[in-house]
Amino acid sequence: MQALLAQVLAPFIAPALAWAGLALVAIPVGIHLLSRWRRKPEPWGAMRFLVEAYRKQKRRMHFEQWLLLLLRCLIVLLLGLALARPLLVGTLGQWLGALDSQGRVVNVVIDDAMSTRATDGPGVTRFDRLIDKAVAVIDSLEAGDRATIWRAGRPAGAVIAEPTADRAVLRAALKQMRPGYSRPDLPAALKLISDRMDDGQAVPDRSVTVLLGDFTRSARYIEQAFDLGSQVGGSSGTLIVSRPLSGLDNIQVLSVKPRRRVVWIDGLSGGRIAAEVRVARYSESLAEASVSLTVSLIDVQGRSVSSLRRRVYFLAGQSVASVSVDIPVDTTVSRLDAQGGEVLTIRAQLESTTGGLTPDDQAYAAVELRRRLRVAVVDEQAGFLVGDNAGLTPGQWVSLALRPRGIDQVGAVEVVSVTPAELNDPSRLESLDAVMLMRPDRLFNPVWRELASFAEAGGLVWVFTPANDGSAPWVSPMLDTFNPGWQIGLEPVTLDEVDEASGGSWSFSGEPLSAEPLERLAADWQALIRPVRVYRRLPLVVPDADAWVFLDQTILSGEVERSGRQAVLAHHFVGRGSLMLLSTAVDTRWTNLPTKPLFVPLVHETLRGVLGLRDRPGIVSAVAGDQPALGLAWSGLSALDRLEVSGDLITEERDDAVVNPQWVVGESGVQLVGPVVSPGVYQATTDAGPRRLIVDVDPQAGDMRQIDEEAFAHWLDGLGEWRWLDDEDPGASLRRTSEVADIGWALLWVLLALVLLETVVARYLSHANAGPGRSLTGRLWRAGIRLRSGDKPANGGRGRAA
Amino acid sequence: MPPTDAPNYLDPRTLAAIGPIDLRARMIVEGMMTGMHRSPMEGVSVEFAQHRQYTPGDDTRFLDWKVYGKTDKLYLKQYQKETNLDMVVLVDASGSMRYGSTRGTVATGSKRAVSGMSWSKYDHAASLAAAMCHLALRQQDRASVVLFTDEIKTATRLSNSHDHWRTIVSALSSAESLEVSEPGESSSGDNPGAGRPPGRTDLSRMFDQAVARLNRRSLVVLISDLFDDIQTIERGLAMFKFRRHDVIVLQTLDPAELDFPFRSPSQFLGLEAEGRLNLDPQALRSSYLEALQSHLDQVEQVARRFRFDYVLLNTSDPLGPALSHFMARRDAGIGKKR
Repeated sequence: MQALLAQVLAPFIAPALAWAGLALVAIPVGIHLLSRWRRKPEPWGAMRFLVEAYRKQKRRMHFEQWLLLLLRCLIVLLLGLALARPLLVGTLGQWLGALDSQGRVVNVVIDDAMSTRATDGPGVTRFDRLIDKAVAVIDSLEAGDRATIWRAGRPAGAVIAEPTADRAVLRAALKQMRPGYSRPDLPAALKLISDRMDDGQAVPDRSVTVLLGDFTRSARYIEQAFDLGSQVGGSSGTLIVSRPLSGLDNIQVLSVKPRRRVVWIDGLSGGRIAAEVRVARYSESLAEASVSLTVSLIDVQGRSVSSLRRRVYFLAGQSVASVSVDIPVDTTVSRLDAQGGEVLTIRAQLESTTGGLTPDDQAYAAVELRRRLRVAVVDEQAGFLVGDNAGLTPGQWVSLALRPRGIDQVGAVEVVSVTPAELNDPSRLESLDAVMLMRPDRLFNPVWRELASFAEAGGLVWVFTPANDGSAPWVSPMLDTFNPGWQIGLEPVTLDEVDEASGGSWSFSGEPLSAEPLERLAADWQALIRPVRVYRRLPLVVPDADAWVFLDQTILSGEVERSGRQAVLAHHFVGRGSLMLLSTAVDTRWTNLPTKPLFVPLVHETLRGVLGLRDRPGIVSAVAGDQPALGLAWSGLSALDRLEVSGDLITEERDDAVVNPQWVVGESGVQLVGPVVSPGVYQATTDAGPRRLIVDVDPQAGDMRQIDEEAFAHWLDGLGEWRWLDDEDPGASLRRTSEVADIGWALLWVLLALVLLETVVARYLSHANAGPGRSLTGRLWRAGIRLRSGDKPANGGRGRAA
Repeated sequence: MPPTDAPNYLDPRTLAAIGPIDLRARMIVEGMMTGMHRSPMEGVSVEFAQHRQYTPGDDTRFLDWKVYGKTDKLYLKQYQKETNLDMVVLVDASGSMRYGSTRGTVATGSKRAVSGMSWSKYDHAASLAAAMCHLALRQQDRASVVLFTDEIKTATRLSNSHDHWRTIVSALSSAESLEVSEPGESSSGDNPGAGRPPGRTDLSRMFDQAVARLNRRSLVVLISDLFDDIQTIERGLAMFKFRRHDVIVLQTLDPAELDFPFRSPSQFLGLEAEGRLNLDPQALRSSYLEALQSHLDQVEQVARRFRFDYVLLNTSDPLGPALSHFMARRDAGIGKKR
């Protein structure tokens, strides 16, 4: 019996009143018994007729008495229970709770991240299971309830933001939902719901938030601190969460990254595109393994023009592996004109992975192919002979380095000689990729500003220190214009002044190169720098990020001393372009660098590396779920379509229709409307030529290992009070059977109905023709009249009354 | 306080204040006489009634010799003596007759009503019987009173002597000393009506005993509440009819018995030891009245079938109508005998 009571009745708000009501049931019972015991005797002559009538009506009278007694006991009991405000569970509580016309707002949050694409049975995905649960939750809505639907996949958002009670609309919206390719962003979804609560659109204590997801590690739940202002559980409402699903092993191509975004090729030997592919595996057991990887180049028609296959090896315990590939570029790629380039897509795809997800087995990148690199060398037109330079000016040294003699006809670099005075015409900078400033001391401030604009637009301004013995007045306007944060001495320093007694020299530092554009020189760097000496330079102190090459000081004893992080080659990003400075002059009095083998590769790699360092304005990379800003370079956009990729080795495996992004044009250029959902390569047509949008799967989305449920529960504690969803019967979690419902008011209504019923029944059973009957209310009425009148109780029409 | 208006003598509420029955009876008779234009005491004497021709075998003592001398024919003289009325009043003195709601408390045996203000059914019946006997004796009719409960308890002889009035009044007064059980003593409330204690109405034996006593045609006045089986009543009246007695049935009931006005739940105690009964009277009122009315209808129907007079007396009503009825019936009975 106690178990039954515990099952039916949740704790009372005021249990003492419930017990009092139970005890007070003794009052009507006692009155009933006393009324039988203490009745006044009435001598009676016509007893035979009374006995006869009594025998006829005995059963009916007993029934009436018990009925009235039962009603009165119920009234007292219900009064106590109602005042105790019981929290009822079960069907009755659900029914009584439904009398509350205000209802609840149920927020159904569905994780539509990529991990839910995993199969969870024959032909069924985890996402299908989540939708089934959501439908069950919707079906369990009660009268007065309304619901909203939210996506938790990044970017989180509303599917149905306005609460509606139309179940058909809610079900239809659920059926139309598809899983995405991003990672979950549950905090963002909850923040949206919390903000909506704060807007007063939902009564907090009547809101129910249901989180449906597989809750893999891809979401990085536990690592994310939660915004306390986004609480949706506890006092803010009821939070119900589905249990995390079991984990799966998965391999994901994290990224494919070309070494340079711009690749210059010549017409004869073609070229190679260097790229690095990073592959991650997510598994509890990280044994030694390898997977096969195919890297392909895809042209604008979606054809594979070049491909190679590599194996990626994982050592035991290794979760992320990288592989560098040099993809040969076919020389028949001939649509490259002198100025424009072609954008090729690099696609890295894992082959025949077992288990896990397939959408993350591939990644994309884009690289621009160029045949010509236009470089302006700014120097005095008339060369002058200095020392043993045999008449070569710094500009000539650089020009020779850029276009070695004998291969002019096939060289990718086109050198344009420009005098400092000619730079006063800004049109001279048009169609140039880089400007090599041999004589910055001959420039005026407006020219510096033009050069800054040139760099902002993506060009390279490489300043070479002029071989002047005096001070360097050009430093100030340069620093003022570009503001790189460097410290440059105006007076050149010589080796003799620094270390005259030691008789040593300055040389390029042999420490590992940190500058990405110079990575190709890393293998031969030590050999190349060995003969290089520097005799004179301008003092240059730059942040470590800007210093590409340092100087070491070698003393006669053979010891090497660091020169106090004195940089000789510095780089600084300016807008989409760059500013570079060589702190020594291309002059044999200052350094023997121009005469050494290092000079040519250093100039070339620096030039190509810097120009290929930044994303091209025509190529935008994004992650599925992002809403990238395409910018002004995409002005005049007329079409943006996903490139269908085909080929022998490349197959598309997309299980749903691709929705091409929509866009609007604003002051800041082209802006997409909504996030990009499907990964892939989107080809755009603009007034300025073709553009490319590369969309990859979220690199975090492939981690499908099982989350630590205990840690996850601890994380959920930060959201307020919550409970698990009943996976067997999701609707039961929402029904008020599992929810405490205060039915005090409902019981008061039932009590009122019982009082009325008792009055009617007692009135009917009293057989009275007029006046208050024998009901409780009738007796109270009579008692009130007696109290007011001061009369003694009337003798019920006794025969002997006068 | 004595009444100032003679007709008030017939009001039970007035009579209830008068203790002795003989005094009550005289006041009733006086009340009856007041306002009458002609005395009802006519023709009650030994005088000539008629002549009839002599037939052989007739008693020669009643030959009218004067007529024979004149007409030479033999005629017999018939006298008034044959027209004298014998009236027997059967008064129910059972326990149920002690119930009275008109005033005061119930008159139960020696526990007389407080201040003598109650008016029980027996009071009503005794007063009526005394008044009737008084009237009969004043007209030289022979009268007798029989008190009965479950059997005849007291019976006076038939007489028209003047002193017989004292005997009748004494008999009626002695009814108060008849053995009557306390209410509800003999059985529990769960078994009402069990057993037949003394003082309970038993008309069957009474009828047998009364018929055996009456060897002449008489006017029988039955004053009772008749709380017995209708078959018993019918059998008793049939016996009177068979013996060619004339019967006046005066069924005497208290107004509370006729209306059952109780409201509060009470414990009803049977006055004839039927036990006690806890009940809500309002729930049973209609059923009770239905049973009572059925009984009354049956009694009246039986009386009418035997061509007996039947009058239902409410003890709260004046006694005049009942006495008038008696007087009319007496005259009619005398007429028939002539």
